Amino acid sequence: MRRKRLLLAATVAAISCCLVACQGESPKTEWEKVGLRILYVGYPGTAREKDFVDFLENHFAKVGKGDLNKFEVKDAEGFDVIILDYGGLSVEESTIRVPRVPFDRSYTRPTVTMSAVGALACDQLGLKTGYF
Amino acid sequence: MSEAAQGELPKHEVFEGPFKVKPVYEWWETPSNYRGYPGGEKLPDKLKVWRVQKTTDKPGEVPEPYGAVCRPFKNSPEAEALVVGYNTFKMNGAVAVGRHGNFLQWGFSASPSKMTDAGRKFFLNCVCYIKKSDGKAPVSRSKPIEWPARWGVAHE
Repeated sequence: MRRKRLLLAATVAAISCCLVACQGESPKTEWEKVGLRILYVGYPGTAREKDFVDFLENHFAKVGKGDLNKFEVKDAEGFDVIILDYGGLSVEESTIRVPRVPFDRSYTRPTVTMSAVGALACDQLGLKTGYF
Repeated sequence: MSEAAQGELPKHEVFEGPFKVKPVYEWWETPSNYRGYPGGEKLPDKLKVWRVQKTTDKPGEVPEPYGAVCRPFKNSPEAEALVVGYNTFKMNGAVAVGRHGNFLQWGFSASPSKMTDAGRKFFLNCVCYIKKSDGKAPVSRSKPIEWPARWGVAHE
């Protein structure tokens, strides 16, 4: 009888462990924060920057802000992922402004580039994700 | 590019977590520009798409700020196409979101409040996913575009 109880207890414990392990792998709901530190680099003071930063702060452990016009590689220190948000395509006097790419080909930090201007930056870096 | 990704989600971890991406599919007319490329004449009249963002109700509309697709490319350990973009200027299969080395290009243009629920979750997952490519600079590189003079391009 005692052996049966021990066997039952062990089975219940094993099932509980499995359930906990499975919960750890399940997709997150929107309100659970991911333990990554994100640096959003865009154009300070814009509604777009606020929209992105508010959104990211709701989902990641730490969110920093940067200015795309002044960004340098050292600014990425202390962050896990860098988002370069170039915003809209700039056309002045019928001239497309190709964005400043703030690093060279030795840069290896995880980086998200965005929109058509991001694709132009990718092209400057010789990436397959570049504009064409 | 439009506001939609084209086709059903491929099997890939970037759609599974940390946030589960559940697209709402629609059927949009096949863009006429696709017909001019090889294989374009064989495409069906309508294509399955899912909105990543919504700034307009019109299917196929190209909103500002502009998004972009890049040329279709074959997946390899260092580069992968994650979703194709429904576009009204270039060919079928052009890539809207893709990774090359430590860079992930998000070709859509809206900020989060204008993204759909599936779009927001996909974006968050992309941010998480690229972390895995830390330190993995692209090995193969192509030559940047040599812009025709008529385009008028200035480098900042």
